[in-house]
Amino acid sequence: MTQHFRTASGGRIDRKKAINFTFNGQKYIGYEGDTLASALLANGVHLLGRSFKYHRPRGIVAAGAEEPNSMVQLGEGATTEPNIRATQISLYEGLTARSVNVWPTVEFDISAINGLFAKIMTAGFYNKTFMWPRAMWMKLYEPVIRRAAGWGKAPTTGDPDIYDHMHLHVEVMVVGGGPAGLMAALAAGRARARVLLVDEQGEFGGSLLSKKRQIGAKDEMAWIADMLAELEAMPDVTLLSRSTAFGYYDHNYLCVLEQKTDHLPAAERKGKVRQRVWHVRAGQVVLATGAHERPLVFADNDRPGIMLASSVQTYVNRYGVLPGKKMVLFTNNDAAYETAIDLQAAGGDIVAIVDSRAEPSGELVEAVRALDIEILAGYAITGTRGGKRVESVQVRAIQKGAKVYTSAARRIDCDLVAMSGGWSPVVHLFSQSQGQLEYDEEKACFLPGTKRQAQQVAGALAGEFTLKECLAGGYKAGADAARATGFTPKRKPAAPEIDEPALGGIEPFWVVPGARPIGEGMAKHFVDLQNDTTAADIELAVREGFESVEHIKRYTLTGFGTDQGKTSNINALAILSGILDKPIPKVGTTTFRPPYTPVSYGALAGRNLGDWSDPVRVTSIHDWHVENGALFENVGQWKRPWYFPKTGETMQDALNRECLAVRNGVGVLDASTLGKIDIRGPDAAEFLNRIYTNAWAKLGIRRVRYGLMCHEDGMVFDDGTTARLAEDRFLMTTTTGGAAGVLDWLEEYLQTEWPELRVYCTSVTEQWAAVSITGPTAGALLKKLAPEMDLSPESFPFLSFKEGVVAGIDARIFRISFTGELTYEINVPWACGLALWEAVMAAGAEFDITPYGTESMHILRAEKGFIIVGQETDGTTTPQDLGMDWIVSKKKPDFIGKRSYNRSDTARADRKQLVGLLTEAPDEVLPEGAQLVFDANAPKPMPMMGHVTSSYYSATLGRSIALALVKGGHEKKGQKIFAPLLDRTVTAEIVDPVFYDKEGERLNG
Amino acid sequence: MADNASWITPAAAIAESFPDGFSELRPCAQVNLRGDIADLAFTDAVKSVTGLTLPDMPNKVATGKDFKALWLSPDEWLLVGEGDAEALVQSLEDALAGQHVAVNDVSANRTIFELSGPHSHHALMKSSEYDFHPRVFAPGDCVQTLIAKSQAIVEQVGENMFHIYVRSSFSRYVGGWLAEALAEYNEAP
Amino acid sequence: MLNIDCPWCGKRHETEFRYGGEAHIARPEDPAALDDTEWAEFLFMRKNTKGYFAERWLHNNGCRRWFNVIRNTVTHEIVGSYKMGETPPKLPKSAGGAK
Ligand SMILES: [Zn+2]
Repeated sequence: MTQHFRTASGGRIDRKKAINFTFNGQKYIGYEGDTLASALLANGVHLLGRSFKYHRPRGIVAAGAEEPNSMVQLGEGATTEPNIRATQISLYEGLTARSVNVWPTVEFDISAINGLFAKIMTAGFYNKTFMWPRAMWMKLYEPVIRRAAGWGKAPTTGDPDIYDHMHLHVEVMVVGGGPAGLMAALAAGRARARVLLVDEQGEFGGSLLSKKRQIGAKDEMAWIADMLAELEAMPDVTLLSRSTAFGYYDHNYLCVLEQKTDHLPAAERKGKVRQRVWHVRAGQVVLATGAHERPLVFADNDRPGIMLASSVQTYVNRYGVLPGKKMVLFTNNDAAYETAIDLQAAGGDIVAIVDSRAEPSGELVEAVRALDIEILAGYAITGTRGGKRVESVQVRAIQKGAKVYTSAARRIDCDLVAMSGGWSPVVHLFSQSQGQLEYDEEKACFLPGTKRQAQQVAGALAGEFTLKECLAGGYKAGADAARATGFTPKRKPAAPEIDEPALGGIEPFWVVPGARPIGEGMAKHFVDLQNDTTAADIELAVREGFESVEHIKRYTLTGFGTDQGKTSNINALAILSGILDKPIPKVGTTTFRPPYTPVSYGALAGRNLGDWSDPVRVTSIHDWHVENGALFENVGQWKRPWYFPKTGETMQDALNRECLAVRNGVGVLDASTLGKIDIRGPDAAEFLNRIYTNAWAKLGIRRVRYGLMCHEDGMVFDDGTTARLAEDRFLMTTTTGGAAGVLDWLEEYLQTEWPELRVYCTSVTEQWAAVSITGPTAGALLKKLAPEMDLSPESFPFLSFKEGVVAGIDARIFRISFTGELTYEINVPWACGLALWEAVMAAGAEFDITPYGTESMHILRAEKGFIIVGQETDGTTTPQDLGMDWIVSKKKPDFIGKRSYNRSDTARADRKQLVGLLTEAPDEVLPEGAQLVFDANAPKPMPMMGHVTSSYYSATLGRSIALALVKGGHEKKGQKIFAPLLDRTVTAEIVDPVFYDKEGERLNG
Repeated sequence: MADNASWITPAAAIAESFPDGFSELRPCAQVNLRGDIADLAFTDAVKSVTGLTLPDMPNKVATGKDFKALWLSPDEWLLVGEGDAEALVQSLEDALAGQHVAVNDVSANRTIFELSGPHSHHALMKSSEYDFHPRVFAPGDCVQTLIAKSQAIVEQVGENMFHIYVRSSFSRYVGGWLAEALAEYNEAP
Repeated sequence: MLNIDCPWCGKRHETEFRYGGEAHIARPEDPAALDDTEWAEFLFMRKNTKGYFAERWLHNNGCRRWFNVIRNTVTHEIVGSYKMGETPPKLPKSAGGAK
């Protein structure tokens, strides 16, 4: 197919570089510089898809981000993307795209029958119809709606592309690379501020790319080129094209999506970052985001070939495309007349200009009259005809303020309708930044009002609709921004002579009347093309009692979807204002939220996927565990060996073997992950006295004590052993996951509550690797590794430590125990961990030493009734609930948590308390988290009396054991309790939580 | 004390994948020091041992003959050097005896990466929200911030040259992350 | 994302900090002397101000200092930050943002 609708010359396309692409299976040719939309129009393709609800034929309306229709499924396979607007796709060799929301094809769409039921598919249709019965929803409605209303399809395989993030700090960030934005960047750049200029398009220049203007001695293209040359030469100015500022957050933090390879043929994308999200912190932000043209709301205003006037001008001037050859222009302002002039100059025919104003006047109007184009003043389009393309319009004289028309119609044949309802400044980012909008009656639009962040506005966004105003306003905004961030702007350059038409006024015309008042007739005056919302829907919503603009939005869906109502929001609220008979400012706008245009999940995630989704912390012994077949458990950010299965072993086999090895021989555990904090100062002991529930003042040097930490509310939040290294120095250990939180906690009290305490805390977690050997033969093993060391209980009693050489490495050895067996925890400098571990394994071979993981550790400690914070506790558990009154000092006058123990709530007798459970059937292992009841036959919902916190099969005991929190449990030992499960009820007896070696006889080996 | 040269960190296992301009330094002496900067007895004693005037300006590095001192907090510094950490700890303890201070050998606590070359700024921009632009951050500056999601100390040691200190357990994560951040620039011809 | 001024390190992104709740709630000198109501007041009751609010932050990925910030909870405007024990900065005249 050839490009029948190309102009003879002109445009920013390279006619020497033909580009092959495929749309809906048909092959076409476009040029480099085209968008998919412009290339399709050049080939005469207007029908791009079907509408959301009624499946009406739809075409291209706009030329940029405001496009409500023309969504396509871009590409194929893993990189396919749904619902991309054809107006935002740069054409590249080999591009393939398909229409969305069509079935089976865009030309013949079965669901268009919805149009016949249009009367019932009004606002709130889905809400009303599909409420009940629920079964019908599952079986019928949802599948049908999914097929009929689904837009594009998400890829079914993982995204192979590369995405990343970049953080940038600048003094001045300029959003929008049109004339105002370029001038702002220039002013700030000349002042030597660090500047970032972003623009969503492939080329800088904004509206100048679509219009012919003489700026001083240069035409618009030479002017843009000179601006860019000067900006590019500045070392601290960053220019990003194809980059959309999509979110404006607190304190001038903005996110920008840079599409780095989306305009390239597939072969040139390989290995490159596809999209990058820039996270920018700016001292000042200059918003020069321009304005979007508004459609006019008239009956059947949605046919393919009905487009925004300025977009038609863009297609003609920028892309060298005639969107039609017989155009009717419908406008309420005279800026749009320029489109008629440009189209005619490019070889199109202007059939008529329909101007809703009774007496249009001004330079452009006169210029059009001079071209002998018919102007129908005080007229409106009241209807259109055409199947898959507009074929004619019906125009009528309209009385100002009339609710219905009465005059006779005239039919005008055409293949293109250009419409202009005026301009809406792109206030999205300004509004996201919490700025307040103000309605300007004269310009008939919302403009930025009170700002909340350090920013400037310029250009069309600020209501500066002429180029002259844009250049001056842009420079001033850039200079002000530079000055506000401490730079001195250079003198303002002299204003160039600009050749542009003077603009006349605009007369708002929000909805064209029909034969019957809006809401009563069958005619569809579309307001939101993407969501198929009509003026009648808004009227209906009001009739049903909705008044708030936010409610109307949700009920009618106006402003949802990928275009977020860029062309529809203002029309909708103006129509609402008319129905409610309230001035527009009183109706208010809906909230603008990020993102400004859609952003892929890949870009948002950047590199924070897979291995990088969260830090993985490993010990210095980690690779040994991997090589020896360990399976791992995540504990906080740490990877800890879970258990070490041997070939052919089930998980339970491995656990049984590991646990029995500890009970009968010796096991070894990598304990490096525990948090370690050096606590030093004359008041260190006093500080620990206040932090822990038990007493620390009298702990001897080289002795170790276990402690519980509670919050002020009395609830346990961490535990661990702490050793006294010297009179004024302690080494505290914390739980693996709690280390950072405990250090914050200690610093909080030292810095905010007790600054008088002379104590320093230093985190030394990774200074020390810890290898714990435990079991009856642990002593013999250590003797072998440290032959010089006196291990006798007199010299090295339980809860003490020694320093010495183990396997040739300077070490600190702690006698503590989490298994109930004789245990030595050997600490060496972190990077020596592997050397120590290997020495222990070698020396332990004769004792059949067995590495074990966290799961066996859990079983072993549960046999002893030792708690794990976060498993037996959940932030609502006191030491007393855990049966650990023994660790709560009665003598200390105060410590954190103490006062809360006699609050009525913590003193209740029916609190959940820690108990042991033995199931009636010894092989039955209760599921952790199972709810417990006293009466298995109680009617549902049963009163729940507690839950299982830990549950295992204990090879040591040859049966299952469990720990549980049970209401009043301490007084209920010997009683039966039940766990009603899905398929059965398990009976258990409440027992003491210590299942093994109650007397602690095994501690000394 | 075992010979530092035999120390292994988790990053060592992936060092082969590190591109030009990125490496893990061999271990060196690191000592964490806490004390009252307003107390002359403290600062004099530290100076007598290390020759260093401890920086009281936040996020600055003081460099001496054998050691440098990185500001970590108003009462905390990291002493870094090629010398013997144990000996430094002992001399500091001796000189500071009787004072309220904390001296800890943390040589194994963190490992140090060196990032250099024309793309070092890009790698940092991809990894940190801190502003490393030369107008803001220069040789002699250090900062505690996040590299990806790991805490880190970043010290600028020369033009386009940075030392990045991370907790040893995070070293594989941070090392791998930074190596990948640089990949884009190394693959380009 | 907030840009928070650490009194020592200067402005840093919010991700370097941890929130610490309402400022200027001193732990009672002698908790035992308080009745349950008074103790509960200290433990649980917070102002939840709409508008300017004194709150604590910890520079936990930086210098590990706790400090105070005056922030407008509606607009996120930060008026200033100050060290523990220092006098709070003056609030802007308008009650600010609470509309
Ligand atoms: Zn700080």
